[in-house]
Amino acid sequence: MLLELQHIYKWVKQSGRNIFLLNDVSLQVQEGEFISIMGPSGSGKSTLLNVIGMLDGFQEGTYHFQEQPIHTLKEKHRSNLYKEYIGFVFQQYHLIDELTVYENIETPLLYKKVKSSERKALVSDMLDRFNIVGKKDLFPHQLSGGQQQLVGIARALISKPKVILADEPTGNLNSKQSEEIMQLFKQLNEEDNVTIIQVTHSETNAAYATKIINLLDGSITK
Amino acid sequence: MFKNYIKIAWRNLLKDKFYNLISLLGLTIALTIAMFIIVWVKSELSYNSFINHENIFRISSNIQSGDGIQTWGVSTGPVATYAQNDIPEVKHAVRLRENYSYRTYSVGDHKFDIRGAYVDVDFFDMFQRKVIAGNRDMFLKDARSVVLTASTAEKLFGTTKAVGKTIKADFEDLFTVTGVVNDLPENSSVNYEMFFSLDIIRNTYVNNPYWKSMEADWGNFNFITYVELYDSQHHKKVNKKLTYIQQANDPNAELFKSDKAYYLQPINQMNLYSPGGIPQGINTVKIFSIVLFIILSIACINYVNLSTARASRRTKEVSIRKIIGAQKKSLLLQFITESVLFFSLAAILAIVLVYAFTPAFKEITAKDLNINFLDGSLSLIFLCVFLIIIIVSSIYPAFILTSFKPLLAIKGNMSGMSRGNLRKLLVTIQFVFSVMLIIGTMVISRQLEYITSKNPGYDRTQVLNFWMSNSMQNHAATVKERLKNIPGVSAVSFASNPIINNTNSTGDVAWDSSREKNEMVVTPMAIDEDFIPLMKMKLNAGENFKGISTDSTHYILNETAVKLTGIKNPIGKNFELYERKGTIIGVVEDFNFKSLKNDIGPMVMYYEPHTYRVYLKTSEENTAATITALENIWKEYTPDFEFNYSFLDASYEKMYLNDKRTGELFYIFTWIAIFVSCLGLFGLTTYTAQLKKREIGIRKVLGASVFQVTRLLSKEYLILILIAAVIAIPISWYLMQLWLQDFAYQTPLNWWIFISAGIITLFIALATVSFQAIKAGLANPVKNLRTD
Repeated sequence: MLLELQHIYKWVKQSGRNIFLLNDVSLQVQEGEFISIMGPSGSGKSTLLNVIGMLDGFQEGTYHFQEQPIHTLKEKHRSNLYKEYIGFVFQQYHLIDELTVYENIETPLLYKKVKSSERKALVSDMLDRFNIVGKKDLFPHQLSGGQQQLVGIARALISKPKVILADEPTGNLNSKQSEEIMQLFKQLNEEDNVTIIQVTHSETNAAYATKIINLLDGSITK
Repeated sequence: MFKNYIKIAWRNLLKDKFYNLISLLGLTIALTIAMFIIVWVKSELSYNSFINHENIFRISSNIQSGDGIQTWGVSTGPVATYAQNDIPEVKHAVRLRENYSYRTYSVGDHKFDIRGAYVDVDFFDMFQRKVIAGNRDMFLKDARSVVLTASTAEKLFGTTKAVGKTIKADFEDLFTVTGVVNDLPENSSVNYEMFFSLDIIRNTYVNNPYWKSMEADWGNFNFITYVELYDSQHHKKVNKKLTYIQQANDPNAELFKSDKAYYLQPINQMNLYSPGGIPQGINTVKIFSIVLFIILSIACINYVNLSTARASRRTKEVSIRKIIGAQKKSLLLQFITESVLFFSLAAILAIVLVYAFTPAFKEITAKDLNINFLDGSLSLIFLCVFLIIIIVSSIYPAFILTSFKPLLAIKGNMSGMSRGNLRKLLVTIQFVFSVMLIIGTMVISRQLEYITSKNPGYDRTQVLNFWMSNSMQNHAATVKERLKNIPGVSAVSFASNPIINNTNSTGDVAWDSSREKNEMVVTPMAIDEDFIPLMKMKLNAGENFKGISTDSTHYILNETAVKLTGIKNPIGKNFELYERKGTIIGVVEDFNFKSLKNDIGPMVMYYEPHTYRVYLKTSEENTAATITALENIWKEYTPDFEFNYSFLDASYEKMYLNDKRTGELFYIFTWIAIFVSCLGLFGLTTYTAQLKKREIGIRKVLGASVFQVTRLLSKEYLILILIAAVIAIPISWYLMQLWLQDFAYQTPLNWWIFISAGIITLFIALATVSFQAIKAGLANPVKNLRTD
């Protein structure tokens, strides 16, 4: 088991009343799964993804990641965990504007204190694999949306995560670009055994997954 | 990793050109000014800082004056002799007296101006001079010997190997060089170029009926006496011993403060404290140090404000970095690297500016302040200041920047910054500084205006004065007649001293009740019958000298002297000066015969028809012709010498030149500091206006006028300025009070100065703010809403 959520509740207070973002969510994810989270706006998809990614907390329930009880861990320990095992891909790509393609991909390795020669090799491999060698010295604003998202995924993969969390990765892309990204996810999932959890609105994209979870008002329907 | 930090920092610098330029400009200017102030303060504080200066003291004399004590920086001849011979704690005791006897020196046909002084030969040991030529034991071996400094020797003879060469003083007296020593530091009280033997003065006592020898003359305060102690802690003990010796030997012992006749002043305090140890220039130094602090703070505040205000722009970057694995530590390091790079850039630019403006700075301060970045102690100070301001201004923004929760960026919420309160506090501090500086400038300029325009009690307009030469003085009566006949000269008078700054003094006075009362030290001045009318001084009682022979036993006292002696109805009462019995015939209204930094002391005027200094009242027209005529007469009697004269007006201004320079410097620094403040404010409002673009757009669509929009953006600053004024006024009142203490005559600290400083700040701030505000107000709202 890669991760397991049990009876997760998350709420915010608004004018004295509790508004539930996540309402008794339980979820098990095995290594190598490809999961799509679907649901209307405000149903808690992104919140769930953020909880899984340990970027956000919750009030009640338990969360085990590789048998470790996340809900009891200290912030620092938790961030070490997600840095080690989780890669994030965003709808807005969230590349660092001041860095070139090469540097964006390289940055996670810098923070992991990987040696310079090794870094070079890893980044080159990644550029090769994604076919963006020619773009390595460009800045994000010089790329198309699809290319930016490729760089975003490359950056997420560079530190060899066990799981990739993607929040509407194709939300800003046209259908052709979307398809390419989805093909890439599928390939990663099948060939490299990377677990993928994505939030999506699109039925077509959701269909790439091996499992679909539907959320409504913070609860898993199905 | 580090290379990476630098790279990012550099890219960010180029990206935000507008704000970075503002920050950089402010910081560079501030650092430049800071370096100048540091150099200035350091030079003021390093006055007389010889290697062994801790052990060297100047002996000041505490003299009874009426009911009070006056402390003089001079002392009598025997003090040094006794200190050297009878006090074992004293290593060296040295007398110094500037040599005013000669006007010019010549070697062959070349004439030179040289600053000379009579000294005891131990002088060279006390101030640790290196012997460059000659034998130390033969230095100043007789009255015809002189010692030169190396650069003077070079100037006169083109070589330092000058021993045995001769110099003529005033074309008649021949002196032989017996030694050459290394130069004395310019920034010191003993910065002379040529040294004469005290034997010259000793010889004048040969037929002196009153004082047997220089070493026994307790009456004339002719010398500055320096003592070097083996241990500086012993200065109190030495003072006690000196007092004891003085009380036992001085025939006028009662003249001195009986329990503490002297004050041993550390020599490095001589420029910033009065001879009695009362702060004088030190307050100015303190105020400049405060200005230094203010300017650096303003620059730091600008940096902190602008970088935290713009922090929201970097929320995204920081969040992403955190998500992809950055530790807080590495982010902190990244931002600190950015600050360091930025500050280093400013420092480099500042160094360039310092080099560029050094000549101007030298001119304003009239000091030879060479800024040498290779000078160890100076660069160390610079480095420390630099490090401090980097730490102060980089740590806080770095913490702010790294403290966001990474989710902010993902949620797309970029305006998670609400550090507005701190920013307001910092802006208020800047306003406090601005108000303080403006008050300072106003008070200082008013005080300088006040002392230069205050009526000193005599009319100094169009009064030309000069010292007569010996040959001229021998024919004084004729000279006087001839001077009177020069067209444009309306009156001629002779007096013994300069009236602007008469530092003469004597305790040799007596009056009927003086035996019971305390003694008094007075400033004597010999004048002729024309002096008081020429100067338009007022006689409060009695009459002026008449120019008849009985005048030699007549005295005119000033009001202060009358008050201190306690003589009632002084006219006709007995008075004695220099053992010469006579009567008081007049009381002259008090006038300032010293700088307005001093109170008016007691003065006794006595009659001497043909003394050395000539005062001429000239008409405003044709002054040049009058001077030419004067010069012709001078040349007839004294063909070899230059004719040197001065106008009282000019000398009076010159006396306050230093204060004026200080004022100018303060003025410049103030406006630069305010400019730097404004830069920051400008950047900040530009930023606020950008943030509020949308709000302004909506308001305008709803019908807000340009004025209303301007008010919206400026209102908050108005309140801050009011708060700042309330804080700044008491602080600056206190500081200005401190500075004014240097002056016996002070301009009043009017309430309106403080109010108008507040108003000026308000206007400057509003002008700065409203530029952006009006621009925002005028902008097309539709465009703003669309681009949002």
